Amino acid sequence: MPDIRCTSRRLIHAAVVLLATLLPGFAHASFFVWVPVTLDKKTGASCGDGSPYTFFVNRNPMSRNLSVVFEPGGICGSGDTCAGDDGERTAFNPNGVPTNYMRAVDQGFAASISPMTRRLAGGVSSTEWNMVFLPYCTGDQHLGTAVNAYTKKNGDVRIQHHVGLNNMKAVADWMKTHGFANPPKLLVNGMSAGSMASPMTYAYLRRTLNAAQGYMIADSAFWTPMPRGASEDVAPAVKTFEFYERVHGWRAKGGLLDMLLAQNLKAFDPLDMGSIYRANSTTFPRDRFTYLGFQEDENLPVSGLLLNSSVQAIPEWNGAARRELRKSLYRSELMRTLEGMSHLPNFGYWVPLWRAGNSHCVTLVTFLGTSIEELGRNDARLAIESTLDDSKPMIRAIETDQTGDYSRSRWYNFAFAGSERLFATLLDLAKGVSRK
Amino acid sequence: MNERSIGAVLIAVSAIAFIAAAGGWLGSEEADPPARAAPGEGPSLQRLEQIGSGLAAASEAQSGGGFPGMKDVVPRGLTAAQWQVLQDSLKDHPQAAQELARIAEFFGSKADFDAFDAIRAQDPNDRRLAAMARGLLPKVDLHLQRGELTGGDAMALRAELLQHTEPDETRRAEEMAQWRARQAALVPAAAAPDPGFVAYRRAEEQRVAQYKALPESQRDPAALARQVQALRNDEQ
Repeated sequence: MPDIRCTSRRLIHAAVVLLATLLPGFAHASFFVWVPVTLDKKTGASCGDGSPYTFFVNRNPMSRNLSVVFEPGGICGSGDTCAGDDGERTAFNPNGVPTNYMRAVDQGFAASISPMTRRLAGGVSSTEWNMVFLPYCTGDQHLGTAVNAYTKKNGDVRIQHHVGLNNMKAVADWMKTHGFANPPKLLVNGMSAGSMASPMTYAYLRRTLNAAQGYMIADSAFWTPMPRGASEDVAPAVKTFEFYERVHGWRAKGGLLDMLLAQNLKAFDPLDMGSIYRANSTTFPRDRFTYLGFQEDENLPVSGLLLNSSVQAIPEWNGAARRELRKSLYRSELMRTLEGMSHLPNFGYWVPLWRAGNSHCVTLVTFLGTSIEELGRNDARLAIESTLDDSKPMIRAIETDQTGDYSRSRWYNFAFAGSERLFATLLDLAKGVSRK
Repeated sequence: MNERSIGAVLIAVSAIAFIAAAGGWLGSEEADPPARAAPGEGPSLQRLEQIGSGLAAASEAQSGGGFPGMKDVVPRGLTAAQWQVLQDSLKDHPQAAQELARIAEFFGSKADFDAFDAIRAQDPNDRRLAAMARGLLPKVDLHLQRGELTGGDAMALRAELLQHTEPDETRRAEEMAQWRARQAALVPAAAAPDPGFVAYRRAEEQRVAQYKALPESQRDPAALARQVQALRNDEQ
């Protein structure tokens, strides 16, 4: 008598194979084109509003290397910020990711407007590789495993699926079974929220895909050393991090912490998420890691210190004092984090002071304005290319000139001379001003 | 990949080069610039379709022919080894010739952008840049329409190229706004919403309405979240 369960499994498998061959861009892969892939909800993947999660693949048959790119786009932990009703504090894509997302010219293309994904012109070495782009629609830095019912200011309720970690895992599984396993080189990278996701998901992605050699480039957001229970005097961002830890479910069963513990990372301290850089560096000593960011970042002092007591204690009307305190606390946190990185032999960083137009995210739109002039004309591309070239030393550079960049406010005159307004529009769009 | 297919591809690539050259695309510093489009006008859709259909037609027309000796000719921007890998990768593709032609054109454009960048890096005021930029602008649209370029990247590249073709900032901004409006209309429709998700949202709305009808003291957001999550998991 035939084994019905076995036969059913075979039939299902055959159906899956048949379906796979019928899917466009699958059996006859479209090369050098952004192809959407929508995940089944059974994978646990979804966007914040519960809609199916779509990511994008751009194949190059001439390479077996792989770049995994996490899209940036803020963070949310309330009904208004998650639903897209709180202006610039809104996290990206509150209403999900459409399958034509990469083609949009009027919204939603923050990370797809970057030399890190631009294959046609001006890209970096990893744009010659296969690329997988993970859009951001869960408001949890791609790291959540929680579903919350938030009450908005107007009394409405927003159900928010903070399931970015599920999305990442489902994409990793998909990549593993669709020709992306065993890459000789794997780069995990992202801006802002993607910069937070990159180190946390690094080991999981590297091992799931069985990469021979790994690289990570995190741009403009970092995990500061933050022993659990630390006071704000020691770790000024601690309250903000603890808040998101709770609402995004980092320590929930099957959450971020469980995933990290399952990786058995050397030197990882589960009571200090800021130990992730040391953990990756120590666990994968041949791999190469770089942090990029501006000293005068315009976003991180606000988002990272959202719940800092000293900042909150300054009345709203005294905006200048709030800004100054945030700035000062952010700078000290950045320097503390970089100091930790400086002890890791396979870790580099490139930290210019500031650039006009957009001083958050070094790899956004263009590398123009990311030079550290003390080192000549080189910009952040140098640090990225050095990271990706095993024969080069890791670059550690922090701009010491604390005034020069301000006098170079027209840094974009090279490519955008006389088009400040146009460029500002680009940046506004890239920053997600009209993302709903 | 047999010789006939290779020949078809090479003819298609040649056709592109011819079309581009006819439009001043390969023009040197001395070449006459192409006819000036009206402000805000990029390449017309029709024009892009002509390039695309010309490509396909060239491929098709030559698929019955053979071009001995041409198989060693490698498209611009690719090495011989890369070209071979591409041919091998697409050997079972039902439209292999068209795909190879498209990819060859992509790498040709990439080589042209690289050349533009190299000259600009040396001297942003080099006189050749204007003609090159005029030739590159329609390429941005073409590769965007083919999905080889994202909307954001197309916009960024276009903004850079406009610096060299339109001296007036206001007109540049107008051109870009008009271009965005045109491109927005060309974005292919997204896939229809998943029926399971639509059903889930209806059920979620009902559950939330029931929740909001409760006295505040009886509302438990954690319980609501669990109920809704169960709805999502149960959706058909």
